[in-house]
Amino acid sequence: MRVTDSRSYDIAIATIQANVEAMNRAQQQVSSGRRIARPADDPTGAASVTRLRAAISDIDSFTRGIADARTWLGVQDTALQSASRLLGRAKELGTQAVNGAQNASSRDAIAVELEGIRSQLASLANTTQQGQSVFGGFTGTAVDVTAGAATYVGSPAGTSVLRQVSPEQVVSVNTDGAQVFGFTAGVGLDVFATLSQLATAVRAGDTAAIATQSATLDARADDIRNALGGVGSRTALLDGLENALGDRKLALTEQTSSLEDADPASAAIDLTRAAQSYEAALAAISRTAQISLLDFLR
Amino acid sequence: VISGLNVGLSGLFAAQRALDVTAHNIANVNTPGYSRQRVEQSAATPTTGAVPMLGPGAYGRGVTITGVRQLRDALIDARILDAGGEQGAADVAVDATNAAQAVVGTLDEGLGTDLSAFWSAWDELSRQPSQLATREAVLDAGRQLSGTLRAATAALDGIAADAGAQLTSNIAAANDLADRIADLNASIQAVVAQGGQPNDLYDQRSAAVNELARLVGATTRPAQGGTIDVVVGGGMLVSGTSSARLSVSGTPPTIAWSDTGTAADVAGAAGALERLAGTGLGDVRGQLDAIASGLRDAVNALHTAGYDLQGAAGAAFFTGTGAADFEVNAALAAGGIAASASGAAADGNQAVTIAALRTQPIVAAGSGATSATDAVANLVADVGRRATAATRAASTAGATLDALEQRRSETSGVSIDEELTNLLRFQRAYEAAARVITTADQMLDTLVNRVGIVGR
Repeated sequence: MRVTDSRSYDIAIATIQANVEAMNRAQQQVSSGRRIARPADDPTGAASVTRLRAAISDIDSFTRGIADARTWLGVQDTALQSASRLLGRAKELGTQAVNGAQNASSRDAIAVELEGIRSQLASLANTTQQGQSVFGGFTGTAVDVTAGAATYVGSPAGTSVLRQVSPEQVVSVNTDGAQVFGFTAGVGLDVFATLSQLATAVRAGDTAAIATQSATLDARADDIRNALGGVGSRTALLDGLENALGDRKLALTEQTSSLEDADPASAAIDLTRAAQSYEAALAAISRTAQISLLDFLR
Repeated sequence: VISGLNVGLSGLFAAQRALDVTAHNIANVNTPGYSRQRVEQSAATPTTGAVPMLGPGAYGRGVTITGVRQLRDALIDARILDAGGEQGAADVAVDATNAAQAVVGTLDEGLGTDLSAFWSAWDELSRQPSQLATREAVLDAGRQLSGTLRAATAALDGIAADAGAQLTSNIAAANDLADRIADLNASIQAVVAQGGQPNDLYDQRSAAVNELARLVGATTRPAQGGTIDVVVGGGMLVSGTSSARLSVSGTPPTIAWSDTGTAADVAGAAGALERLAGTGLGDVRGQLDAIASGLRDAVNALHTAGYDLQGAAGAAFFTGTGAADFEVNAALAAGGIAASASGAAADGNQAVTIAALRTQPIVAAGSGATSATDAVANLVADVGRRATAATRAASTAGATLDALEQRRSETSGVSIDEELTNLLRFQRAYEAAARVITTADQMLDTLVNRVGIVGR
């Protein structure tokens, strides 16, 4: 092969260029920590990273949805626990009232306490979460007791306040107040009417009526326990989902990192190698460029 | 003895010419496209008359120079033309596909992240539907997403517009080169007609042809009187001493022959630019349009089925016909976002349904449909693959051209060491020829001044 001067200088320049380019790329990887800076660096990898990042962002959003749903259900749980305790107390009072040792004034005291329970229960039924009734659907209040008889003023039965909590699952975070407080059981059978009627019966000392109302109260207490069970099972579902989403996010993050992040050790080694090869090229060029027949002719 | 003087003189002349040519080679050591030259010499025609003591024709009359020859390989020159055209086209493709990556942005900031933020904003709205702040956040996320899609199409338009501008200047340069080649053809023809050998003009011409091939792709064929014809895009750009012209016109710009107006199917950088300015990145644009239309149709369908803060039916969320004019409905205020499925202000269930579009196949792709995120991921893969393919093609074209340049330089390149050695060789020849003349001179001196003086 015949080697010419101009060509060997061209090759020298091209070699220097290629080495500088390789060194720059290695340096960029080390300083940014990224293996994929542009889609062209790894088209399939970049597409996967795009999908993974979208999935991670979705999980973050779902996790916020779970937190919100949990708050809703937590508020209901507290309210329903209290309601359940109140109904237990009302039942107790009903039993006390039929005790033969009661006189008019003690029965009156019991009736007053029962009425107190009714109004406490009304405020529990109107528990809100950020201004929205948790038993009323999309309204601010669920039960209106201002007009004497209690009426359900929430959204129609079957209304669900929905939260997306996983890629596949949407949960309802409210509880239907009409059902919980017995408005669906029939006229005069809701928990507020029952308590009023119980108080009236206690005042009157009407043992038969007390027994009837107490039986209705038992049915209402069952409704509340059922609702509590529903809230509890949904909370358990959310706990499971949150764990699953957390695990999934960890897996996705690791996968993303393995695709887009440069391995620090190998990136550093690549940089060293590129720098060495650059030095070697420079040394070789400086060595060969100096040799000329001119040095030997006089 | 007199003929000895003449022989010495011919040697002096030959060595001097050879030294001149060597000097010319050294002077042009770094001239691109220069082919080294060599003095061709042969022994002079011997005398035909009888020579004392020898027969006719047995007596040499020195050396003659038969010409100054260029060392070049026509086959490699032709292949360099082809490779140059390919490299020109490949370089254009690399620039364009690298720029097209801007369409999808970076992995940290771009179409993908904007899309995720858009769905998350709907999630947030579904949790706090009556808050104006979360409603504004949905509008902002929608504006950001539509702005990114619009910017992406603008970037593609910019690439096409740049290609058009570059095409015009490339064709102007090609026309100039064609004129220059025709002029050189005329000069060469004049010299060749006088029996000359215009080596350096040949070099200049082939440098011009190489440059032309890179711009528009060209092949040459030899014509009369040392001229060449240059064929570009199926037509004669240079024919002997006359040159045709190419012109660029229309939107998207196309290349045509100026005289006939027929389209010229040129290769090289101009051919690649013409494709780029036309439909080159059309399918990337098509994918952007599909994403925009898919989002518009799917979101609007659900949005108009929902109810806003006042309980009125929702208006269109997105407007536009494609990605270029994709926008959040300008008339839509924060309160106008239809997050409610029932009409109640506190109802965010419609926002839940809209956010659930994130996994649904809403973007047309081929014969089916994919989710918006998948469409963006496919776009990322697509522009990335284009850029890697273009880079690979360019480096292959570069390597081919490099290998050919290497072979060309093996034949035609100037080696300083070689020329220095030749310098010595011809210098010695010159010295020796001079000594021949001195010797002949001394012999004449002997003959003229010392013969016939016996006994003087």
